[in-house]
Amino acid sequence: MKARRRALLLILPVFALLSASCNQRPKWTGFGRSSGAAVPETSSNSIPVASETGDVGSSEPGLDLVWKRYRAFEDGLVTGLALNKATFCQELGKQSCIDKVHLTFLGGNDPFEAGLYERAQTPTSITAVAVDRVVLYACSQRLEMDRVAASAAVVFKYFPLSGTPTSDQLKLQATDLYHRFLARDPEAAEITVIQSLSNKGLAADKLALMMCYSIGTSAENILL
Amino acid sequence: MDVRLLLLVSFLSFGAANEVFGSAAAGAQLCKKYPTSTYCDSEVNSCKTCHSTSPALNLYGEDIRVHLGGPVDTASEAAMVSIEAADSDGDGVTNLDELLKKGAPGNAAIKPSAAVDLVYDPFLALKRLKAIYCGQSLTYDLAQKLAATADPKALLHAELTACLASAYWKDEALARLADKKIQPLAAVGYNGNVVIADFRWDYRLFTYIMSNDRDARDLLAAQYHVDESGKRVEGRQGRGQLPQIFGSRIVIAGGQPLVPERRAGMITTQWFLSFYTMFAPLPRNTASQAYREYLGMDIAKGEGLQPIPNEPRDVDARNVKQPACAVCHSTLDPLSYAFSTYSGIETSVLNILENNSGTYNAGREPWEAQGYLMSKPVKSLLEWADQARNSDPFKQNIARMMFRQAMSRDALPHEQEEFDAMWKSMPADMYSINKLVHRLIDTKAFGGRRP
Repeated sequence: MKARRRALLLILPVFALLSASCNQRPKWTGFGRSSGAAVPETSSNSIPVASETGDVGSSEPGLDLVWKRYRAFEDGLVTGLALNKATFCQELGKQSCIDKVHLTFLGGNDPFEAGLYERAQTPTSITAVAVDRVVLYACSQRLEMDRVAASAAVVFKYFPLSGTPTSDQLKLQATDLYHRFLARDPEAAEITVIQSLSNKGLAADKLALMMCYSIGTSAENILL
Repeated sequence: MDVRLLLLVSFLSFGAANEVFGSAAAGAQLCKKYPTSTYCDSEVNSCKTCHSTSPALNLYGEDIRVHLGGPVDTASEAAMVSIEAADSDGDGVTNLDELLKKGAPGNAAIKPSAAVDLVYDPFLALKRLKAIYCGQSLTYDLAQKLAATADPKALLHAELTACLASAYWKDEALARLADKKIQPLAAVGYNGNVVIADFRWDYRLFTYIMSNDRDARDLLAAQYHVDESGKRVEGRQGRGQLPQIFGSRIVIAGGQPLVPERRAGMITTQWFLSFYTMFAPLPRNTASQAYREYLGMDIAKGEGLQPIPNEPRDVDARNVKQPACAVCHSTLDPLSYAFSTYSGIETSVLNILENNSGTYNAGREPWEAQGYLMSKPVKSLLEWADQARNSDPFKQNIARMMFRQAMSRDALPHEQEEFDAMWKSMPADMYSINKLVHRLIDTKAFGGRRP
């Protein structure tokens, strides 16, 4: 019962953060972002459904997206969270998440051993699971490194991981994570949602992990 | 489903499709009548007006089939005219309007669009180019630098230049582009159980040609190779492993034994000839792979069919004269003759010791000088390759490969003009892939978004 309540407590804020990063944020405002210009979200805001060597499916001009594939995705985590590329994600402690286990679902192909001569054109349902898993690996690892580093923390340095963060501390941490993952400042709406978590009585390290996971797995980090 | 029923359905489907399958003449008629229609920009694309994936017909192709009043080669134009006012794909636009205004009459997802007014977003373009060509995510610092600069395009191109010189691009991204062309198989490659050739040479040659502003036509012209240190090497290249006939491993071949004067780049490496020709007297598989990967025309999909009169002659007694086979073999067999003097896998002890797989042997078969490529006679594989690498399909295929590599799709109808400008610029750019990519990132297809 206790465990279920704890899981619920973890899940609810994650949903809140995900909805902040996926729904409230305007899409692709680019340089026009500061002026408040926003592209309306439509159902066709997607990668075209097509075979890479076949016909082109539906895609409205200017609304199709490009999949950030395995290497750039990996680089975003390794550089953004200052991790060791060789060791940051090993499934069962043995196989590289990026180059081996989840390669295909992250947009790569292995021609030599798997005989896959072409990469997938679009993400699959398993891509979402793979992205979740790899980002969670990366965020967890950074969190533990920063917990040990304490005052010398690299990423999670805006509030003590054992305390309860203030609204301002959350804003600073979130802003830093937006810079690291998405190369932009957060929108006001995004910050508001994140700050609203400060009075939920959540542990600081859980909040830190949730923020990292939510921003790192947002569609904006995967589809360009 | 019951297996017998499945077989019956498959058989009937094939029979039905076969009535109109693979008519190069029908495609030509359509493009003559509606020259500006979406898919009339190239041999490859013209099939798409009527076919989803050849031989399967789309809704428009199906309508044509129903309205045919005679053989497809002669009656298709009349059928097209008879359904101009219809709306085959049910998207609310008549077939004629789709054909005249950059729609697709057999694909409801592609309709004539109103003027597309996209703006070029350097931030979007930078994110994409860093991911695609550097294998990196955009950093906040670089994004700020872009926001501050007075000349965003200059920054984009400077970043791209750095990306195209990176190890990621040369060693990884370009190698992945080569996979489908080379089709490596570890078990029969270098250090495999039965070594028929060493495909590492193929990867090195491909990435060398595709980088550093080199002439991409060398893909079908190079008489040199590239060693493990990345250095260009001339002449025949010795095998990396000694021949081995008995024991747990068999090493048949290795290195690059073909004499340089008979080479034509990627289609005459030992791996390419061994893997695709194997033991065939007439190397149809080799020719069709070269046609598909370097000219973008996949005969198995009914693309690039240009029948030669009196072909197929069935020179190797494979019973390909029957009509269902002749549809493709009237193009494929003449396409293959020039390859017939290049050996595939040679397995006699003497040939293994002399490393003769993938070498030239004028006496191998008598058909070498009887070939055709794109309806023009070719007397040798060198002529074949020369004609191929200087053709529009070669340029279109290279541009399409780079476009797909970036966008994971083909150019959309409203992007066709930009795409055409890309491949048409290749001669002026000395067939440099780097320059082609620099042009690509400037397109609105790459960096455009709605205002």
